[in-house]
Amino acid sequence: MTTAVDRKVRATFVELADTLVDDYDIIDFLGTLAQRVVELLDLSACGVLLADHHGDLNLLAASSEETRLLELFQLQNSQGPCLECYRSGNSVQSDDLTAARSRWPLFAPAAVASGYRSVQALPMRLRNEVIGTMNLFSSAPGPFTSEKLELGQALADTATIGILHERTVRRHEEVTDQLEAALNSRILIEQAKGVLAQRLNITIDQAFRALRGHARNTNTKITALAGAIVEDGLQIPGPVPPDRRPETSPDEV
Amino acid sequence: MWSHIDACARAEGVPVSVAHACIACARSVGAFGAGLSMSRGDGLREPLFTTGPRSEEVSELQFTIGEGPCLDALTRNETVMVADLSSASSRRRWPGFSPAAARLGVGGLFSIPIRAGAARLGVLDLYRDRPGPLTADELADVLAYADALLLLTLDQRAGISQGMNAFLDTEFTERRAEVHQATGMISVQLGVGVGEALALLRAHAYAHDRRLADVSADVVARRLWFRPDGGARGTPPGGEPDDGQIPRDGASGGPPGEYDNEFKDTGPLPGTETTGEEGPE
Repeated sequence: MTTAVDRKVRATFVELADTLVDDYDIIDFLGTLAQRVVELLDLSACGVLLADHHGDLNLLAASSEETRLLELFQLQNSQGPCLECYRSGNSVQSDDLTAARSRWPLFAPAAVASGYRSVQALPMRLRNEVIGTMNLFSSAPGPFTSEKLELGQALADTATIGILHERTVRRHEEVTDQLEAALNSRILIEQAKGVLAQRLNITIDQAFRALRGHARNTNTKITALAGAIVEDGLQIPGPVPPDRRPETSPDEV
Repeated sequence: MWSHIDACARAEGVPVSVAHACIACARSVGAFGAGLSMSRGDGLREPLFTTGPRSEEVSELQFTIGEGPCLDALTRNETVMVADLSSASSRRRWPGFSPAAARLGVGGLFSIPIRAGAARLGVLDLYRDRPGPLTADELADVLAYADALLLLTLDQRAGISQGMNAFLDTEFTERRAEVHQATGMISVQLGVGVGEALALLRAHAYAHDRRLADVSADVVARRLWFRPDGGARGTPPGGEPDDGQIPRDGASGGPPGEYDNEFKDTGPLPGTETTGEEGPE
């Protein structure tokens, strides 16, 4: 069992390192990383949040782009483990979210309603500074083992490296600049979701699946694809299966 | 930051505009001046505003020679930070502009895109006498001013002049995912670019005295539709024909809950209530 996990861990780090030596897309990279975190640590969901120059936490990528999950990340600008983690620089957890209502009156019930029972926020550090957090959700209650936390922290550090990799970062202003650029890529993805949702008459969640699916099928970087869709009017096919689209067509087409 | 911008406007006794944000930003980082250049849908780039004659000269220089940090920032959509214009690397990159700007006494020049995703509105240039990089705090300030300029530019285009309170609200909701999703949807509904779509979304929220986040949520949930401007062009889903004008000045916006001709409250639509878009209850 341990060997199988070890093998998977090795394969993951090889995959991530492979990506990092190439020309890569930050949103793609972090999306893959979040998915691997979920698989390796046997979790339900994972998100990578980055602080902007206002000190707000913004989602860059997640293991799933389900709207309900995205709202859980968004909610943490006012309360929740990520906010505490970002402010303190320490990892923050709750073993049982059903008992965390008084600690996080908005976040805890929302997380429970989405089917999560425990949560963990790991700091993403660059030297002495916290630039963001990695947020882990599990549908099972109970603490994360120290082994899992260690591996999770290593993966969170890999996310930091990925975000700041594009060129050698020596000065702090370059870090700020790159974080801003990464956040702007995320805005572009959201705009593309909206464009596709409207054009194809599908939900925002389906729009992301269409976007990611087409990026993978055509071996295109997701940010570049999003740009082509929003700015150049590039048409892409809807998500599969098509029978899951809304039946009625409320749009004026 | 908003209080600094506000103070600049009050000193002149006029409503807040992009000019005041440029002035306040230049002051905050010890720059002798600032310039704002806009990119337009047709690809045209033009200097829009400079804080004074010296800044104007530097700004004009870039457009006359046809090279410089600002043009690079516009073209590549990235921040260009030049700590020292007289450095060898700077002269290699802009052989015409660098020496000319150095002769005008420009030490450092920083060009910051005014943008939100694919909405690329322009570039803010900051000119400093002395060479040297922006500190981390200075850059964070500049980026915050760039956000302010984004909002002010959008509202200026939409012809609205908001009070400061409206900005204090939007500053913290602008980055919400739904705002940008709604922007993408509206751009398709109206057949316009995302910059204009975002401007119209903000104008609508302002005219109806609603929070941007709430209007955005309505658009994403397909409770609210933006219709192509220019009057009656078909009917919205289950809707009535158009009969009015688009409120470009926004000053006479109707009461909340009542939509103008270009925006139709379509009510809950069949087939959308089961999509789970509403999020946690």
